[in-house]
Amino acid sequence: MRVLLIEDSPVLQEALAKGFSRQGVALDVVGDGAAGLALARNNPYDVLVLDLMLPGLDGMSVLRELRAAGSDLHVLILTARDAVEHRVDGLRAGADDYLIKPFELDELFARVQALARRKYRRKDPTLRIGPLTLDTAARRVTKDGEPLELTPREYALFEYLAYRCGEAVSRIDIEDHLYGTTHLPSSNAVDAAVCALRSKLARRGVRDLVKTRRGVGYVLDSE
Amino acid sequence: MRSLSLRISLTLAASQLALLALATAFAYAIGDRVLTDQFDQDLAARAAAYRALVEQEGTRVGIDGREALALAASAPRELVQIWGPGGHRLFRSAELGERSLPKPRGDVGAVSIAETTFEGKAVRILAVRGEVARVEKSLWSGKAGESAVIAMAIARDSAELRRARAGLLTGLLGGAAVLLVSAVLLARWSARRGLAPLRSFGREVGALDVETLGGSFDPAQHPCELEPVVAGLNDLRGRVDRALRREKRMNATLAHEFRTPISELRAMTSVALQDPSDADFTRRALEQVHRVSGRMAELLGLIRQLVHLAREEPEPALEDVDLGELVAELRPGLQELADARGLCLADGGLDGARVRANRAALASVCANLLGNAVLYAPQGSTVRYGVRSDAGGVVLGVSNPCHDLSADQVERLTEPFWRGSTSRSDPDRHGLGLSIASEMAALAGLGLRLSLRDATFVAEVLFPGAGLVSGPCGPAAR
Repeated sequence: MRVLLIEDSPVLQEALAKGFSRQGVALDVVGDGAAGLALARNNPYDVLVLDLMLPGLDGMSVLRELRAAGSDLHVLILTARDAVEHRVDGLRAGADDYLIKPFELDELFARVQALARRKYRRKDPTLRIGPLTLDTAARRVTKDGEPLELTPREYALFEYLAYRCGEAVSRIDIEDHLYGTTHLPSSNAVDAAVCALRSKLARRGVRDLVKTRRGVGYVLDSE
Repeated sequence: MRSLSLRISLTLAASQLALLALATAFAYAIGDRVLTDQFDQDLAARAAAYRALVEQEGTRVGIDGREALALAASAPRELVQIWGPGGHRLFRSAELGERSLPKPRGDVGAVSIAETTFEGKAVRILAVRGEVARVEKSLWSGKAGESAVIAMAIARDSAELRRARAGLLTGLLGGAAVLLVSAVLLARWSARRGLAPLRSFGREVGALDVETLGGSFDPAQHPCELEPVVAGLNDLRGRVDRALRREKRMNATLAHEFRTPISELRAMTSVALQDPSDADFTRRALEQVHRVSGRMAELLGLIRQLVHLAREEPEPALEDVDLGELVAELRPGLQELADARGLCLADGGLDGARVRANRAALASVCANLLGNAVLYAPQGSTVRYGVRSDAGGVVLGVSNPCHDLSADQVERLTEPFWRGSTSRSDPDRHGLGLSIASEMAALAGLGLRLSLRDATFVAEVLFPGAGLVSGPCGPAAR
């Protein structure tokens, strides 16, 4: 999952960057509205976490410009503005969710996950891929009730492929969703991650789940 | 008495009662006069009849008084006695018997009518002495045709007159009572009707609440007598509404100001607690928590200071303050920042300028105004300050070029937590400095005027009256 955070508080940026990275979420952080808008327009984010009171272009303007440009990016407004009119304005301007500061980190993650599921048209947080069960809420993969030990990056890769189960996903696409703009992965980083995932699945007797489509990318084949 | 309507009704009723009493008394007096005159005219007519009889019958009126007796008998409640020229009895009513009416005395021709009692009865007596022509049949001495003086007293029971008076009085009092009741009812109705706009206005005022406070009463909908009240209330409503809105905005902003640092603390500590083994992040989180909590403490201190200033405080002690010396003390700190930003600090002439003010308050205000000017003036520009005399006193002005503030924004500069930018990205700015400076100036009895003139932001401290003890009074910074 790839998330963009537009927030002008450096402390919140740091805390959320750390928190999201521990969850295996690729997070891009930017402190002003104009830069955030440019990033949102040019990258395939799953969710945008948007503060309203920003230097330069404010959050509402960012949201309006995104919607005016036809973006269907899922937007969660994260703000200290708690008045009903602010919430209504935000949702009416095209936000998908609204969270008021101060907030619980777990709640923010849960809402971001919910928005990401909505992007892939999933309502059930539990996905069944062959013999595996993927609990997107707990961020855990199990086989016959036993958890698979995956790194956050491997989990993120598996989750992304699972959301697009049956679809061939290109390396660039995977790279875009696993790494933020500040992280420059090596040329074979995706292949290495897929390889590591395959070997962990194989150790639990799950083979040929992640297949290679030559010249295209990878596909998660549950059949 | 709390009811205005009742008070007016009773006042009107009392006035009407007094008027009615006066009118009744006046009417009774006139009626009594008319009745008495009528009674007396009747008596006078009777006297004229007796006199004519005496003139006709002479002394026979007493000797062969059939006609006189018949005349007397025609008025059974009447007693008549007539005395001849010598004072001898000429005639008297049979009802008198041996009794005698008081003999009239006084000038000839004089008629007197008096109310008195005769034999225990209230009577009205007409007494007259007059000349009558002698006639042939007269047995009086003297020549025929000569006149003679006779006296006559006619007494008539005045019961009839009293009854008429009593009837008149009863009628008048009855009428007055009916009028009084009608007047009271009318007064009550009139008062209620007259006070209806006031009641309606009262209900309108009573229905005011926080939501409707911002509106105003329509003067055209209320009586002109209430115009000053309506205007005053409208003005008051406006001021209270503005104060409430400002208070509400400040409370909202206050809550907002704390939300972001609290979010920072919670997010940092939550992430740190997720993995306590990440020593680097935990240390970093602790540093941030320390910094953020320090910022919150600073903000709390400023709010406390603001609230403290906004309260009623004893008037601070005034002293002679050397403005040049005061600004010179502030200048090193300002100069450092000005140099860093490439600004020029232009002293428009403060040396020797002395004003009467509270030094601590003035120092705080000056530090804020000069600090803001140096902080917000465009890089490479000039910040000017100086003192000048003004019609109302003395003005210390601080000015700097300004291209990013509108007149509306300048009006809000002293509002707590207001910042030109909506962002909170500069955690060291709380938007309280000018609020505190404004309160401080007010507390010290100084005026603070902020304005925008030709892309120049001007902050002026006004020293009312003869604030300037001595010093230059040239053009101040603009």
